[in-house]
Amino acid sequence: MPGPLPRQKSNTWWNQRWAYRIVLLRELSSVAVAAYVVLLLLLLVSQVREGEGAFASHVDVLTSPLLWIVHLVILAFAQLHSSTWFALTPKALPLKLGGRRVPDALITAGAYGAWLAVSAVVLVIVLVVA
Amino acid sequence: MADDLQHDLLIVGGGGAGLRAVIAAAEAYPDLDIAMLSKVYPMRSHTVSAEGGAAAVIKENDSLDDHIYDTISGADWLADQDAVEAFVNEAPGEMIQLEHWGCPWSREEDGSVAVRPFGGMRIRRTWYAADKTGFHMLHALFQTSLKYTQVTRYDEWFATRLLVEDGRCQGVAAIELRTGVMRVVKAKAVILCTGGGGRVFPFTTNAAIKTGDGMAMAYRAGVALKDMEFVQYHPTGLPGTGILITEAARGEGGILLNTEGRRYLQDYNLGEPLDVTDPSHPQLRSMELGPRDRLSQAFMREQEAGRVFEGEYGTYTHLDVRHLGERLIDERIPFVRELAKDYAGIDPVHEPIPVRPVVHYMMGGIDTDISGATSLPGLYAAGECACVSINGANRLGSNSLTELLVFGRRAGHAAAVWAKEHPDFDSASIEAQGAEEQARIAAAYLRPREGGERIAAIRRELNAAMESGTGVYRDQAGLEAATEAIAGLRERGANLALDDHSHSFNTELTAALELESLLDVGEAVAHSALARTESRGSHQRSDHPERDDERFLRHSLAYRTDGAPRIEYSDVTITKWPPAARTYGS
Amino acid sequence: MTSEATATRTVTLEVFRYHPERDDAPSFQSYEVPYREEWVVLDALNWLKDEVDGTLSYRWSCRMGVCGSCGMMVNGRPRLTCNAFLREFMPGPIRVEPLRGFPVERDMVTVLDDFMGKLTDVKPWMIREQEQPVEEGEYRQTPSQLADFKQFSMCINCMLCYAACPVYEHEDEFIGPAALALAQRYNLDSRDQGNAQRQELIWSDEGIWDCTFVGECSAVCPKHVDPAGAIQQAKVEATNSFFLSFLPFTPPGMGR
Repeated sequence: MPGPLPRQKSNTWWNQRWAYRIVLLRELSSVAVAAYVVLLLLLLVSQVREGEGAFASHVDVLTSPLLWIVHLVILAFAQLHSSTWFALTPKALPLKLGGRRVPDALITAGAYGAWLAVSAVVLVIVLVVA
Repeated sequence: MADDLQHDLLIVGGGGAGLRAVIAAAEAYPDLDIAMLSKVYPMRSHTVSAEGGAAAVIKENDSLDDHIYDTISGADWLADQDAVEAFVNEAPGEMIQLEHWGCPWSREEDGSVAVRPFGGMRIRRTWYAADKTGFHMLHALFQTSLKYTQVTRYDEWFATRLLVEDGRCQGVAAIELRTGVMRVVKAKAVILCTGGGGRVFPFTTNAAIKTGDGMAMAYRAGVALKDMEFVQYHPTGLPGTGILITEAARGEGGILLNTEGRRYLQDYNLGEPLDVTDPSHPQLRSMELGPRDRLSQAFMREQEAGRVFEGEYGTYTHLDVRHLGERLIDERIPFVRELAKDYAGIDPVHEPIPVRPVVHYMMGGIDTDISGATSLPGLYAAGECACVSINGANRLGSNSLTELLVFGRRAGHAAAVWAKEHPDFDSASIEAQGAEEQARIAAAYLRPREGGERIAAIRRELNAAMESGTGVYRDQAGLEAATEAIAGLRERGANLALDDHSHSFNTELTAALELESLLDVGEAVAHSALARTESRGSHQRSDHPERDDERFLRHSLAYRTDGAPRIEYSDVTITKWPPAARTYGS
Repeated sequence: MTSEATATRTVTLEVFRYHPERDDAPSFQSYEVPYREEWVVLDALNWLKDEVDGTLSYRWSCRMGVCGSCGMMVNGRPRLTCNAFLREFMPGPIRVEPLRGFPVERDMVTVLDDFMGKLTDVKPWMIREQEQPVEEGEYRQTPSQLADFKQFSMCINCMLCYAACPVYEHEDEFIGPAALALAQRYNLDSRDQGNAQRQELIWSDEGIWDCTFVGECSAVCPKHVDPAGAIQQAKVEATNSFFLSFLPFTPPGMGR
C-alpha cells in the first residue's frame, strides 16, 4: 500500500505568484544596496590612497552610461526595499493613541513623510556644500 | 483487532461539553488516564458556530432566582427545577473559570465582562465575545485542554457502538478514519458529548457533523431518548443556506418586519413595540426579545396570512438592524455583517436581512440525571446530546453554551468517580463485540451491491418527511405520515449501495453510518411528537392547541424496539415554581 | 431550487485524486457540475459526492466559514471552499487540490499531525504565576487591552496560511504562521504571564526567525488574523530584548 502522499516541495514556488516574485526581488534588493555600498567604499579607499586627483576620474566613471543604468537599477531596488519596509512598519510596530489603534495607512504615511523629510535635509546639505 | 486501547475515562465528542468534561476530570484526578475521541478535530466541533453568548448571573442588578424563573418559564415548565437551580447556581463560576482560561469576553470600560440582552431573559446576563462566542469558548477550551498530558486524543475517529457487558458500558467500537480500521477503545466510564441531530432536517443552522450519532448509540444500547419532540426553530436563519443570524442582532436592537413594514410580533401576544429610538428599546422579555418558539410560531402565522416575502429559497421576513449604525454593528455583531454580505449578498448596514425560522437545537436527548449519568451504568452524557433537562419544551438563547460548561464539568466529575470505583473490564467479551461491529459494517456497506440506493436519496426523503411532519406546527395526520415514511426509509436504508469500498478516509462510509443515526433520531422525534397530544413550547399541535399539564407535564422517554419506539413518561421535578401561564411582553 | 436558465449551465471541476491504498501518484479527474449563482465550490463537491462519485474525499462541516475544515487550493490559491463562490471562477475550469505543503491522506484530505504538535508546543493556554480563585471574580481587562490581542485570537486553524507559506513548504521545523500568531495572542493578553515560557521556542530559529515576511499568510487569511503582523511584532520584541539585555538596568515598562 503506497500510503499517504508525502509533503511536496517545489523549487519553482517563487515563480508561481507575483507576491512571491516580489518577495524574492525584495530579498535581492539588499544585495543590490550592499553592492553599491561596497562600490562607494572602494572609491573612497582609492581616493584616500591616490589623493585629490582621483576624484575627477571617479566622477567620470560614475557618470558613464553603464553606471547610469546601474544607478537606476540600484535606485529601483532601494525603492522596493524601502517601500516594503514601510508597508511592514504598522504590522511590526502597531501604535495606539488614546486606547485606539492608529490606522496602518497612517503609520505607513508617517514613514514616507519621515523619508521625504530626511531626503530634503540631505538635499539641502548637498546643495549648500556644493 | 489491533493493539489494546484502554483508558479509565473516555469522552466521545470534542465540542464544548466534551472538552469541559476532559478538563474537569483531569483537574480533579490528575492520575486518571483520560481519552477523548471525536469524528472531527475538536476545534471543528459545532460549538464553534454558536454566536450570541452564554448566560450567567454576574451583574449587581441580577439574581439567581430571576435566571431560574426565566429558564423555567421559557421551558414552558417542562424543565426539571432542581437541574435548573444547579445550572443557574453553577453558571457564574463556570463562566469566570472560562474567563480565567483566556476566553476573550467583550468588556465594559472598567474591565469587567460585558453582558447583553437575550430572548426570554428579563435581565441582561448574556456574556459575549462579540458575535463569535461559541468559537472563542471552543478554542479557549481546546487550547486549555492541550496542557493536560494525561489526555490521549483520538482525533477523527468515528464511534459506532457502545460496548456493554455485565450491564455496564465499558468502551466503544470506533473507526480510525485515516486507516479505516475498526478499533475497540476500552474505558471504565464513557461520556457522550456528541451534540444534537439537527441534520435530520433539511433546513438547519447545524453543521454537517450534527447527525445525532451519540444519541443513536445510546438509543441502540437501550437508553431512553427524552423529550425528543421538542425541536427548536431559531427565528432568524438566512433563507437557502440556513446560516444562523444570531439573536444578539435583536439583543442589540434589531427588529423584525413583515411585508407591510409592521413589527408583526406585537400581534402575537409578545408586547407593544417601542420606537427604536426610545432609550428603553429593546425591551427585555418582549417583542423581538421574546422566546424563540413564540417568534418562530409568529412567523408561520404571518406566512399563513400572506404577509411574508417570497424569495427563491422560500419565504422570509426582514430583520432590520440599520438603525444601529455601522460602528455598533462592526463592534457588536461583525460576524452578522460578514455572513449577510457573503451568503445573502446584502450589507445589513444599508439593507434589512432576509430571515426565516430554521431548525437550530434539540431540547431532547439522552436521558440523564443531574450529574450526567444515564440509566446505563458507566455511561454519561452532556451537552446537546443529553437531556437533563434544563431546557424543557423550549431553550432560551444563550443557555446552551453555559449548559455545556456546567454539565460537562458535572459529567466529567461523576464519570471520573465511577471510573475510579470500577477497575475491571470484561476484555474478551467487548473485543468480541467490536469484531461483531466490524463484521456488521463490512457486510452492510463495504461490499458491492447491485441496485442499492444512494445515501443522499434516503437522506433527502428523511429530511422531507421530517420537515413536512415535524415542523413548527404539527398534527396527527402529518406525524403519522412522517412515522410511516421513516419506517419505510429504515428498510430501504438497509439496502444502500456505496461507491467506495475502500478503507482510508472513507467519508461515504461515515455518511452511511451517520444516516443510520439520523434515522434513529428522526424516528424518536416523530413518534414522541405523535404521542404528545398537547401544545407546549416548541411542540405545537394544531389538533391539540392547549397545554395539558394534567396529562403531559411529564417528560417523554422513547425506547428503541424492533418496531416503533416505545414511549413512556416520567415526572417533571417541580421545586418552587408551580406551572403558570407563560407570558411575555407585559 | 433555481431557475431553468442557470440549472442547465455547467462548469468543469478538475479535482485532485489520490488514494493511499492503490495510487502511486496523484492525478486529476474532471467532472461537469451544474452551475448555480449561489453555489460555493463546496456545494459543487457535495453535489458530486451525493450524486456522481461517492469516493471523493474531503473535509467539511459548518459551511459558514468558522469551523476551518474545508480549506483547499482553488485554482492555485488556498481558500475555504464554503466561501469560494463558483461565480468567482467562471467560466472555469476550476481546479481543486488539497492544501499545499501538507502530506495528503486521500484526495483533498491532508495530514495535520505536524500542525497539531506545533500548536501544543507554543503553549496556547493561559499561564499565570498565581491563579486567581474563581470566587474572586474575573480578571479585569479593558476593551483597549482586549484589542491588543483580539485579532490574533480569531484564528480558526484552517491552515490556509500554512498552504500560502513557502517557508513552511521548505522548512520542516518552522512552527508556521497560525501557531506563532496564537503564541503572540497569549503573550499580548494582559491576563497572561507566560511570555518567558514561550520565548525559547518562539524566538528560536524554528520560530519567528524562520519567517522571511513573505506576507502571503496574511493575504490568504479568511479571518483577517494577520499572522505576518504577529510574527513581525514578536521579532521587534525579541530584538528589543536582545539589545536591552546589554543595559545594566531594566528600563521602565520592559519588565516582562
